[in-house]
Amino acid sequence: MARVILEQVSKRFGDVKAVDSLNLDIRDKEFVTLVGPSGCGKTTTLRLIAGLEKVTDGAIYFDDQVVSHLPANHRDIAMVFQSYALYPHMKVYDNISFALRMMKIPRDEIDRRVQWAATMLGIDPLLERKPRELSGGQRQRVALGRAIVREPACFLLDEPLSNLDAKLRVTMRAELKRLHHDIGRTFIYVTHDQAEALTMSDRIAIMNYGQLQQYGTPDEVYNQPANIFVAGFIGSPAMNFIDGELIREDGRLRFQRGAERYPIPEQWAQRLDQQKLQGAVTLGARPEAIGISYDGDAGLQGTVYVEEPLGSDIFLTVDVEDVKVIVRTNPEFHTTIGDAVKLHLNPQKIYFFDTKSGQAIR
Amino acid sequence: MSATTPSMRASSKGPLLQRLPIPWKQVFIYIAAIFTFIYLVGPFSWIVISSFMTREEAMSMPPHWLPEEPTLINYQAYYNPDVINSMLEERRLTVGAVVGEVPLALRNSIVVAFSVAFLNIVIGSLSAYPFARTRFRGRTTLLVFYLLTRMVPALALILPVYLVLRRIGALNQVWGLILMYLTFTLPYTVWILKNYFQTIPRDLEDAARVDRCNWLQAMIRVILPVALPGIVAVGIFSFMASWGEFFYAMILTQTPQARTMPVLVAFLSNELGTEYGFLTSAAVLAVIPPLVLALFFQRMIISGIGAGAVKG
Repeated sequence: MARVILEQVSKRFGDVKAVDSLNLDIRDKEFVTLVGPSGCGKTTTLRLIAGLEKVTDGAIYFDDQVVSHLPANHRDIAMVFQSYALYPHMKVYDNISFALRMMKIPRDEIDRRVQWAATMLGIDPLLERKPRELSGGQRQRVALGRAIVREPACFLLDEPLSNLDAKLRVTMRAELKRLHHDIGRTFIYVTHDQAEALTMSDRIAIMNYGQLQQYGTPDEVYNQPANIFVAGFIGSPAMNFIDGELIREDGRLRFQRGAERYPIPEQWAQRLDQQKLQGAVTLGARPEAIGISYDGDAGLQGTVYVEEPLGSDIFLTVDVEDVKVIVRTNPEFHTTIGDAVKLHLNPQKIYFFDTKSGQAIR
Repeated sequence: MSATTPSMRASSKGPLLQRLPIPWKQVFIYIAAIFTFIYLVGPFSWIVISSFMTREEAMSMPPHWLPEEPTLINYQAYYNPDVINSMLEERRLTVGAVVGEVPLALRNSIVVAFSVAFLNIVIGSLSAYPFARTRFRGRTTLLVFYLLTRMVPALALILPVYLVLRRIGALNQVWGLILMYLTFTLPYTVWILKNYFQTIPRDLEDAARVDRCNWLQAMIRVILPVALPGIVAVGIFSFMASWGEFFYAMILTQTPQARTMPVLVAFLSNELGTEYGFLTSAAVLAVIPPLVLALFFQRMIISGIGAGAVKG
């Protein structure tokens, strides 16, 4: 059982700052995902928690004990690696029981735990095989088995699903979530896949350039993104961004883009007024927050660039003054490339960001 | 079903054999392979064959390619004193003295070669591991320096080495030879093992660390077993290098006490004169240990031991 706290944690590799003053508070039994693009520092953070890297600055706590100075073998953690890192010269049974043997646990207890883990993961018929005789999915389960037999304070998982095919990945995603529920331990999970982060986590920490961008529940990071990076990273297809300017005309705030000026919805106008904002802003709208029609007075004028039917939905890419806007629409709405359409933004579901700082305006 | 028979086809387009082009490339490769085989195996086969001949037959002209009167006398002499005692006096003295030295030289060679191989594995892996896994100041310089030491010819080294070994009492000692052989096998071992360790995914070592191993346990329980093919390779390499070494062994061992097989066999060619049977049996005995070792470890160098360790 462990609460994991990172306090102003930094990690440098020479001149490169891989993790920059990171603060995270991960509650006991919580499933927290570190997500971000390649090189954002998420795996380094996980390795710092594991004790496989030393922190340059700051402190890491397990409950109220500082563990920053402890090597990996003295921290009560288990880790699943992206490559699985199964010991190739050992059978599955020996792979799973390796840590228990190192901990000098009695043989019958080792047997009991290995059987329990193997049954739970459905790998009991594979215990006598070597890793090279297993499929990718089976190896992944063995790697998980090796972690869960330990009954550690905290599980660290480094992109464990990224080497599986798309179908198996979705299955294992659900199984991992269920596993977390069943064994009730702290899970810290690293992925670059925002869908994995949204579907599995209690809370998500979004990182970029070694810095924490936002830390919140899936609902918070999706619906109240802290900045343009988070808004663009979470959600698929990504949020649409349209750069423009806030101007005041006839006493009313308007969003100006090129020659066009659009009235700002009432509730947003009040908020922007209160903050006395003017100048360059970026308007953000998710594909599902944009309606589309062939006619109507209001709305952004655009032409259909491409249509991507998905069965249940259609993603339409619409060219609006050189900006490609993706709209999610129902399958009944038929268009052809080049059609002139009007886009209607749902005022409840649009966002404004300060173009310069990238921060969300709330 | 086709109605065409082979004879019909042959009659319409000429005999079947005439239409097949001669595979000149393959013919050439086979001829080259046969010549290479004779070139490489011929001298060794001749030694083995001669060791089963009597002195008279071994010296006969034209030479016999197969012994007409095969005999084990050249081998029996090593354990059966009657063989020597039944010889005429002059011959008995020469052969008896020389044959008496062979077991000791064989033992010395085995002790030296196995010790050098073992120490190469232990010292080499412990030295190569940090080179493979850590970055420290002077790392590359040190690695290059190790190799540079091998660029100095043995002839230039022998005098200072001789003086140093004499000073520390290592002349005419088996351990002196071991010490000397380590100096020229270890640099290669460190290089080979460093490169081998670098091919082992770092995740394996990290997994072992997370699984409660300290670095030494991680190395012994995970890294070394995975690196077994590389370790066997350096073991065999250093064994062979020590087993066949002649120059240092000749200079540094003046007495039978520490003399190894290559030196003894060279002496035999002088001392035994026309005793080709005994000369070749000693040579065969000198070849058996490395041959057995190579055959034994060939099974252990299992390709793809690393397969399945990581994704793929």
